[in-house]
Amino acid sequence: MRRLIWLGCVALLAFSTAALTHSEKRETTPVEGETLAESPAVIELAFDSPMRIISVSLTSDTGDDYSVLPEAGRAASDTLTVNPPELPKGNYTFEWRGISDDGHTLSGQLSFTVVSD
Amino acid sequence: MFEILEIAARAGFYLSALLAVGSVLCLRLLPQWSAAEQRTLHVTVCISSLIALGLAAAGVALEAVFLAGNHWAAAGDLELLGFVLEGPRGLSFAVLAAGLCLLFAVLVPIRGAEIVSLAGGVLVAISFGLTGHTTSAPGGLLSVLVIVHVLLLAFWIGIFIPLYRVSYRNREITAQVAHQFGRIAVWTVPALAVFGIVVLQQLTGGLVAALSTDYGRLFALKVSLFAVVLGFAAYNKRVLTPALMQGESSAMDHLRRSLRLESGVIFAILLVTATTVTLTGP
Repeated sequence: MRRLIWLGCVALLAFSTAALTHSEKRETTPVEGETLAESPAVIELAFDSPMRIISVSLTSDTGDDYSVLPEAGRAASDTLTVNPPELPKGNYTFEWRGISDDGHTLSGQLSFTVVSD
Repeated sequence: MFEILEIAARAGFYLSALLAVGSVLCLRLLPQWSAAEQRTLHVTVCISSLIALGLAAAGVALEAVFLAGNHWAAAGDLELLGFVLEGPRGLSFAVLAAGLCLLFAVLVPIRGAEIVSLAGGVLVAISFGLTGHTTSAPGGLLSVLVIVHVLLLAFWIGIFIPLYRVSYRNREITAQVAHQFGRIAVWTVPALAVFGIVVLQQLTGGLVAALSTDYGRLFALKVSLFAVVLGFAAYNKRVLTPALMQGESSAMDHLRRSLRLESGVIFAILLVTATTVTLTGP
């Protein structure tokens, strides 16, 4: 009987639910999959809680790597901002890796297209 | 390839840490062991603790390598290692290391050493509840559930090796241990299932919603494997243990086969858990 009461108490806790998540990407510039008339002046990602970005990369679909660095360096920030060099026409993938404020390793990517040189 | 390495290290860590804690719990909660079995359990605790500590450190180094864009030199980047170990992750690592060290108290033949080794097991379990978004739940509810979940699972894993070994030596002790373990498993096994479902519910906002995420689907696979283990547990309790108590000649062989299969499925569960944490985050 005690066992049932105990298990029942634990099961009841399930009703007070709330989805719990790590830091998440909230907004991006450019937006995912966006086609741009010209090279973006800035790539920016907003998170819903601070992220310490450790590495970023920007590559084209032809395999070229473009050097980019986070403005905040390795400091924790709600925003990841990089200033890419002038990008020629092509498809690009921007990838980031970092640590969320709850200590977990997270990564993500953003794709966009530039249609003119 | 790198992710496979991370998953393997994580699964190995889970297995060794749970085996170390589980062996201590078996020593303390099931007192029927002979001196030889106790020595084997002591050796298991020490070797598993050392492996767990090594794999936990390797996990930190692999995380730094991943963060740096899969550059292996990052494993020696002290600033980056410091970032990985700051905050909850560092606290978890410190608590884990302290807990694993305290487990070695099983080797000390003085009064109080039993409590110290059990405290070590509890600290190892606590370290699992200190990271991830389980820590975000109000009042630390999920963390408490994770800690209890780890202790129950450790006890279950810890029984496999000594029960398997003793089944070759002493039918009477085997029957006693299986019976006593069955009595404890009657409430620990359903508790494991309930805790798992509560954690999934809390983390994803609903059981149905969970299936639309990678995390939820991997969790569903884990639950399916767990259902297989529940089947083994029921078979052991209802069929095998009575057969052992009555001294049936084939019962020992059936018990060993059941333990082999059960431990294989539990390792698969640990592998799925490691994959879930590595690819989707807990």
